[in-house]
Amino acid sequence: MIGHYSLDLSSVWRYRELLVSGLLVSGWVGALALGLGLLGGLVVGLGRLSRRRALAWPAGFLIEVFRGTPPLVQLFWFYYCLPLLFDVRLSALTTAVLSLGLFSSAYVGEIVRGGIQSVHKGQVQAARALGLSQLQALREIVLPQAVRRMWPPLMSQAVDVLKATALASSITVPELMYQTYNATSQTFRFVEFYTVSALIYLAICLPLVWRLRRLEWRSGV
Amino acid sequence: MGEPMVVVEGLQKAYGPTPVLRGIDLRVAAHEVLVIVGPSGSGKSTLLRCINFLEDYDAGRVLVGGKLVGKRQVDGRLVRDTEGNINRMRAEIGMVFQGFYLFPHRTVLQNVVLAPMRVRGLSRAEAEAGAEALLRRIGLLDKAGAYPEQLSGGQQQRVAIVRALAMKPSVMLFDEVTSALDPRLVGEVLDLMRELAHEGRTMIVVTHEMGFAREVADRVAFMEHGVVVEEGPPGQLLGDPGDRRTRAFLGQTE
Repeated sequence: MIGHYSLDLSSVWRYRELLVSGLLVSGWVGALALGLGLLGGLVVGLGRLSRRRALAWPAGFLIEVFRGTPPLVQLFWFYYCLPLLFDVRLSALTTAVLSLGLFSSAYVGEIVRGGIQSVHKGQVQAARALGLSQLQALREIVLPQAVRRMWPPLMSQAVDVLKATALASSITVPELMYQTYNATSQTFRFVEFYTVSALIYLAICLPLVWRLRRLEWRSGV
Repeated sequence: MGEPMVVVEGLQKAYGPTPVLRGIDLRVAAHEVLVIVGPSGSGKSTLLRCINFLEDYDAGRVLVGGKLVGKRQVDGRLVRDTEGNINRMRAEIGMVFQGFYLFPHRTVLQNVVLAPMRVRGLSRAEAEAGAEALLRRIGLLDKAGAYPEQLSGGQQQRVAIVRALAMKPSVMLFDEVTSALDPRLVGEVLDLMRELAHEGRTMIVVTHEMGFAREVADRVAFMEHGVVVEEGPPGQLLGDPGDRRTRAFLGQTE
């Protein structure tokens, strides 16, 4: 009993398979979106730093658009507008991965840019003076140093993306939030299901947050 | 003077409206040590950075070992060379910076072997053998596995010198390499440079260390406001300069 409410956790147990299947879908969407975000972010971040406008401007545009609009709006736009405008038909799951992946690319792009810009210019000059090409200097000297500084913000971005997967429920992706909602509409056990669902998200994100804190402590951020 | 190793002709460079180099002509023979002195802002560092084409310039040309650096001739005009050629020429020109710029994520040994492996294509074993011989020579072989931050400034700068030497460059450029050092660490770096000079290496040294210039230089050039005001043997230029501006500069420093 909490106040006038009597908890009935057995209802959650009865729907455990539904919740687990939702959790698996959440994991997939999160992992794929994050993978896309890391790859896309590297491209976008390097593009933004390029001296060529044909690369820098599109990268800048993508970053501003995806950071300046709510991810829920982005998700709906991809789900409803892509088929109408370009006759592209993607499953809800693919749409969620693509949309969240691009959302994450924008943030990762800024993290990549910041990391690279934090490496002293003299490092590149020393590498170039030794005869290394621009690409070799980037790969051997700049990126390894930049990546170390990028770890804490990247972990934080991973947590953000994992939490943002819950938005995919709104376009019928059968992930954890969607299945939780389904269960409550059959049982009306809102307190039990939303609390358990929150605890599951917490259980996934907290270890990442803790690890992040250790990284920040170590790198003296 | 024998066959010149480095030739700089009519070099001009401006940052926007501000001229930094206003027609520099210099020749450095093989095995010669040229020391360049002058007040800060006189264009000494920019000159060095044009010699290995870390910076482009507006007019003039630079040759090292008889080959153009950074440019090639097309229809009688000089145009920017291909990146591949620029990289190949840079590999022949060693440069040491005021700020050391060792790579902090790599050990001392990894700093030294990087370019010989990636640029010269040496095997790891060959590159490490060469690097170890160089580190032994400067007494830092026991630091081969250490990271730069674990070394003193003087040790870091000596590793930076050895990192450049590992490429077997035909000329070495030194850009105020002792200016960022604690005074008690300057000596060990100058000692190493003195040894290299006695070995007969071709060196262009920008420095404020007048004692080093007097003792080690074959020739000293005085630069001010983007021009070489005068050059000559160290005894003459530092002891009895012909130009009023050189006298004024030396009067301030000593």
